[in-house]
Amino acid sequence: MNSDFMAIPIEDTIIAYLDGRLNDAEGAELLHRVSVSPEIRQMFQEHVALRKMSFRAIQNATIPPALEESLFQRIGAKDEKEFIPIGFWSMGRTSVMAGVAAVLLVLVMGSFQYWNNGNSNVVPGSKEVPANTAQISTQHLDAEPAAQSNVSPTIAASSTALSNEYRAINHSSSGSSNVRRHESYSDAKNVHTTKHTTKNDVIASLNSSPESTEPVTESKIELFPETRNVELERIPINPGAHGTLESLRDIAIVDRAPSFEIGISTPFSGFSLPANTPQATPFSDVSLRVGYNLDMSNQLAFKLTRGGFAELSTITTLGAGFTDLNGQLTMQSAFAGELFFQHRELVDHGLFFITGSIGGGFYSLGTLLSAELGIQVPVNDKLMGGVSLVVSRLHQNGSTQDYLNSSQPVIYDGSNVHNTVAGSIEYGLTYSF
Amino acid sequence: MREMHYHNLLTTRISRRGILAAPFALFLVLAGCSMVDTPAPTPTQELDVRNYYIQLATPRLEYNYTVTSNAPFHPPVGQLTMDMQGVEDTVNGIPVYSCLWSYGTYYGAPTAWYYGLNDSQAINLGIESAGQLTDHWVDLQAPLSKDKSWSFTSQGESITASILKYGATAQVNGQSYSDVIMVNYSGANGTSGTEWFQRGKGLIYYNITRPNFGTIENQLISIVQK
Repeated sequence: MNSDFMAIPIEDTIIAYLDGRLNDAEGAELLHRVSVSPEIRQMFQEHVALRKMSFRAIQNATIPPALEESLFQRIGAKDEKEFIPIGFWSMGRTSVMAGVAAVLLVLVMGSFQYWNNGNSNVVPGSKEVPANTAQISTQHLDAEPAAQSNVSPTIAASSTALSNEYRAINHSSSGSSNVRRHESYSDAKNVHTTKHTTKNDVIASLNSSPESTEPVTESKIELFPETRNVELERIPINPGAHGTLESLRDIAIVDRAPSFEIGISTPFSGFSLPANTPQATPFSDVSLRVGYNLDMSNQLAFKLTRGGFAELSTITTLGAGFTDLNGQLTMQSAFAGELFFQHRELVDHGLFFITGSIGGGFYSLGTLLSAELGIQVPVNDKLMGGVSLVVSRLHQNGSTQDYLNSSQPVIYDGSNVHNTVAGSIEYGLTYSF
Repeated sequence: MREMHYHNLLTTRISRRGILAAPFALFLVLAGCSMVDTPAPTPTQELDVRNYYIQLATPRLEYNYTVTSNAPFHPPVGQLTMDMQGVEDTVNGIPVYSCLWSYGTYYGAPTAWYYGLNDSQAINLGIESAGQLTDHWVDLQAPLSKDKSWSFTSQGESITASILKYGATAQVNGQSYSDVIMVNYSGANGTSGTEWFQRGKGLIYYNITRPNFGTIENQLISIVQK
């Protein structure tokens, strides 16, 4: 046994192994210890699960709070200076709803994955079996070959991390005294060849280990090469190394910019200029927004609003030889369409966003310019809630002169301002897809 | 190194805030520009009626009006010219101004009409007949603001005047006027009518009907300094 290896705390070794920094002998030694120690195996499985969930976080996964807490506490204690990408997940932890949703999601997806792999003859669940019949379930090790799937080359490369996790088990199956590199290790395209390794090989290896002093319990190590065509090509791949937590953070951030968004918002309170301009009542307006994300921070969007707009209208009274007009700004129900640009700034690694936007368009009575400043808080990776201050400058077509055109004298009393400013506090929900 | 990192991070955040603030600042500028095209607001009230009355103190200033009338001594359709003569006298501490009214050559020589005018009142005193002024019609009385009213007696009839519009916009004889006040007159014997005054110019529209006399309407055509 390598004395240097022993001197290093086991969790460091696990991390180093998953990072691809161990040589074959060190890796084999670790895997041996994994096979004989339930505590080390538990720790190893947690790290593997964390890696898997980190990758799957780009899809919709949320780490179970207990697991996340446990692992990050240990990692944080080891290196307080290391940055842990939990910005978005922190919201999940602080949100009861998100937590419940995450648990349900994991349960649903876990059961889905389980039943999809139900062709294994392993009894579902974890149960202890006699040593001479101990098994490690490898049902989830039957990874789909990358070459047979739609995985892009870069994805295949990134899946090297997963294949190395798979390699861990194969090392175990070979026994610590006979460490050898499987041919599939160096080439992700050959992952399918590992399917020839059966769980019995692994079990036999574990049971034949001289250091095996206790029954090996059946457990699951879930490894899924995902084949999503997401922006994984932006993962900083270091040849010969596996993805790191930093790179996983990059994945999460990059993939948190879906191409499209839809949103709905309504004003809560507001103001208007001139002061006699009537205001829309709270929640009277509804805006639907469809946006296209140019990148992580910038978006072009179209907003359709159905609500009340101040319209300048007149009441006519005929006097003795003249016309008397009284102008009034009244609320008229109308539609507005705006095209606007939005910039979104990530704050505190995804805890919330600050948004600013400017745009313009038309409404039933004229044109309008709008500016918006607000915050958006992720509810999950697709849904965000937000509040913003929206200020719009509305220009109603026409002028006071239009009212004065007459063959007889006309006197007009009322606003001669066709430009009004309306401000409101809006609440909204945004869904990304 | 760490300090440099924080410095770069801070710089980046400042520049990003700038990016966020820029659209909003631009909008405020645009919104501000939209306010520029709004006329200056009319004061809530005017304490000097001379600012809304004909410029009696400017000699040789001519006001030209259209005339439509069914009253005696007035052309049914014609033109009235009022030629300012300046101050003539002082009665009870109020300066009295005169101007010459003429309806063209058809109606003979111009007639002198007299007005009492100071900061608080503008009074049409009529013409001089047998050493007496024939009328006491209070066109305006300070303070001038919307819904203000005053009363006076004209030719034995009690008249109540009230400002119905203040800071309004008007079109008279094809011309637009802003900052206009509209005064409505109603007499106990049936006199009724309205006069419109614009700040800086004076009377722009006159339409008064008096019982047993008729209706006279004047619309301002021009103001010319001779």
